[in-house]
Amino acid sequence: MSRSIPTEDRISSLPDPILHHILSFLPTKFAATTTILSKRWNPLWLSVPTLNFDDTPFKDFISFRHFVSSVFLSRDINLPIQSFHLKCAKQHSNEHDINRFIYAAMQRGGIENLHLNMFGRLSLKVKLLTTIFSCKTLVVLHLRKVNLKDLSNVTVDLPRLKTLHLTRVLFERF
Amino acid sequence: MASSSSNLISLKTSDGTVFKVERALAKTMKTVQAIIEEADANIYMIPIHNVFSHHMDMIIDYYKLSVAGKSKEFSVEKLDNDELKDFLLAVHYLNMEDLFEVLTQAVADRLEKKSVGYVRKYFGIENDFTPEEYAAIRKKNDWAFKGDDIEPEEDEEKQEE
Repeated sequence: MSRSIPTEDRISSLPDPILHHILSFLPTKFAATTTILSKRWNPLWLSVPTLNFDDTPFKDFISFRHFVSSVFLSRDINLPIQSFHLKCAKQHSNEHDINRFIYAAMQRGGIENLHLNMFGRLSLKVKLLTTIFSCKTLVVLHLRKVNLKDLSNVTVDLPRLKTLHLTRVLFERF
Repeated sequence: MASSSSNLISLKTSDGTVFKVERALAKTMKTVQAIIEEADANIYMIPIHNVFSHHMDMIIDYYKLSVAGKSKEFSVEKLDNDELKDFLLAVHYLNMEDLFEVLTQAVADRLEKKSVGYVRKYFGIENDFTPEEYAAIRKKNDWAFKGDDIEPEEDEEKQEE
């Protein structure tokens, strides 16, 4: 049965920056589904300045890794990432890959919010450790179940940091 | 009633209602603040376009709750999607940071975990892809649509009610 009264496109008449802001509250996997809504919506999710990766809906780490890699490849490399949320709860998560993802996000520049929520332990490799702890733009840092090795050898310089949450973080050889 | 006029700013909504609001509330509206600062003499009444009196009522509610430290009690649940969108546009126009965050989060909450079909119907977004384009995009982003974090796809065909 067809609708006799055409529905006006309510949410799409909002300008792009507002749609980006709405999408920034949603997990990236969900935001990606908006790509199919219409031509206008198709590219929007890729320019959202927030990445929110949660491995919960994925059947294994490999499919999660595929998802994260696809997103990084699809995004404009010059687009800064303002917020990066990563939650990894899967068994057999690959530590090297996770370091790589975080590093890739940090490389884009301009990151203000970094949330790493690990369920298994994650050790941050030296290169990533250095990058995070000398990030000039970082305002909020949340680390959960992360190992920070040899932090004493790393220059800690976070001039804009306002909020720091460390939950079950292990400092080794500090 | 004699008002201590230096503490109150008069705002006139699109539907002609005049609200006398505290200067502190007007300060949370960056658009209004800019108008006040640009005015040479003391401005008597500031018209706020795209903002209706029912929007101002909610803005004042939110402000009162925030001042009392109860901003989390502010709810837009009773607004339907059109009303929420209009309110969001009004707050965006007024450039009110905190309330804007609250409203965009509210819209995101209404969208989360819903199937594409639901989102499209709910907000009336027209699918302007050809069936071939649609299938190609769906296939390319297949990983996004799988998993129990979103509702299963509704039948895209028109259904007999």
